[in-house]
Amino acid sequence: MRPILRAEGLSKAFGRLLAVSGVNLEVAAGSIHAIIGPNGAGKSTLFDLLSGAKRPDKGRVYFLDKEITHIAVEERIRLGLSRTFQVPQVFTNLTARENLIIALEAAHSLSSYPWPRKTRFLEEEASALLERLGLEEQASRLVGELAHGDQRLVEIGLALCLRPKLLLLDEPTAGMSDAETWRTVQTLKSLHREEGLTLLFIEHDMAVVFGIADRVTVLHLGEVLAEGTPDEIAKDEKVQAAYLGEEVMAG
Amino acid sequence: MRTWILLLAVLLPLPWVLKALGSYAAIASYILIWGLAAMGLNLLMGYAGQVSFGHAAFLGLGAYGAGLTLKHILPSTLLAVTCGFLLAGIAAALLGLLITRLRGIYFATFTIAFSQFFYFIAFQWSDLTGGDDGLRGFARQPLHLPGFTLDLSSSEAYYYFVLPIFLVSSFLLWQLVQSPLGRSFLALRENMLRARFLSLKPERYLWIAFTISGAVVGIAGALLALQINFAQPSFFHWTTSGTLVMMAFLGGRWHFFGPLIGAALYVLLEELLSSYTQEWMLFIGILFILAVLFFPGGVAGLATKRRST
Repeated sequence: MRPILRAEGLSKAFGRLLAVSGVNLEVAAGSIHAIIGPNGAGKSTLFDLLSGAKRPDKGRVYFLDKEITHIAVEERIRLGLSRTFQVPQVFTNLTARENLIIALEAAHSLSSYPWPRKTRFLEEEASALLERLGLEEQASRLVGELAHGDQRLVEIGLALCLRPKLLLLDEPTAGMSDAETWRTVQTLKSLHREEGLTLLFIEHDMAVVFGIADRVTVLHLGEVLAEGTPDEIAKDEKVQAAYLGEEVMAG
Repeated sequence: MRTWILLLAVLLPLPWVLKALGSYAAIASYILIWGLAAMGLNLLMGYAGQVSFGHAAFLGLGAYGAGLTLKHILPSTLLAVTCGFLLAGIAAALLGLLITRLRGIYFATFTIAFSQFFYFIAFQWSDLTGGDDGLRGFARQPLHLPGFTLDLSSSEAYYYFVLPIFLVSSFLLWQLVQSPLGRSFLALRENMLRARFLSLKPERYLWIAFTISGAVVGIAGALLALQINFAQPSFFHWTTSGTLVMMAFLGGRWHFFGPLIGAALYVLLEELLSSYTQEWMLFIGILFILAVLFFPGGVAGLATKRRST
């Protein structure tokens, strides 16, 4: 299948530290693609380069065959590229519903409208999304008071409001209980299945990676160490040596 | 709705209540004027989440704009208020272009710098501004309405000129903070990174908040100059900006009418304490410190727990 996202020779250095070095990556449209690697492998930096949070020193990024290496975050989002963060970036002093309404207004280009306006279809969209994420009961609570896992779900909801074609998720299940993880995985799977959403996610939980990914890229010290199906990655000796051994044993 | 009825019930008889308590009718106007200024500042501070220590610039521009209009252009009270509002609004829009790329301490420092810049202009350009002596030689004019003329020279009459302007301005602000645009401001306050990743351009929305905020403070400045028929360089001074910040903070910056409560508290305490001691600022300062430490939500925050409006 043709790639929805393609990175060519991406590099980014912080001072003398080469965080991402010559990374090539292709994410097939409609796939669930995991990025794994030990801490400090450059996963989050790679996400920053893909999403526009940071600019690469070298290399190019293509999204739907359009070069997006240097375009602004807002434009990437308009093209259909949304993301979540390792630490959930949400509006903590607002309710879950208000969070989603703000995002939906942005998605429908209503954010500059200077007069009160309760739009039925936005309310309905917000309700549908809250239900989909299993947050109906938390809808009227301040997001800052929600459990960590629920905050992550709210953030996923915010990203979904923009109707992305590709969603980048930075450790979507980190800090979640087993039950929350399972629920999140089910939600992501159903979004992928029903909406045709392509997912690219960073994950440390190997059960999640091998449970839902159909493609895995392994980063190590800023470089791509290996890429393949989950089975291929599990058998790869380089990967085992660099990283997987201990995690798989432990997990 | 209940809030507005309560507000009207308090504000309509306010000059007479104050007089009955042994104070002056003019104090009522000061409460509304400083309240409007603090609410204007709070659009930026409480809603969009950026603290400005330079809003005195817009208070001063509103005041001098109104005074100069009366003195040199046309003896019309309404035109004076309009010109003060426009002058402050245009200045805020232009300064906003420079400043809204800055954040946090850089933003705050720049705001002090530009208000001091205007302070020195008001101080130095004596030919136009009257320099250190302030701008004199203008007085609020009777209001010519279709069919009749209202004499505004008494403090009571002027209060009932200020009141509708206050009510209309705050009603428009109230609508604004509940609009999608108002929610975009909240998004900036809450999380600028997330706002950006929802395709909201922080610079654009900060600029809008800054401009409206400055223009509203400009209205208050114009009303202040007309209240005392005088404008002085200290309107521009950064300590005046600090007063506005204190009012908003004391009253409660997370509540729409918090800054009005703060302004009322400030004006009344000043009135009360200054009859006993010249060091009244000391007591307000102590109150401010206590507020920062123990009730950061201000007076309104004590009444309501929720942080947003």
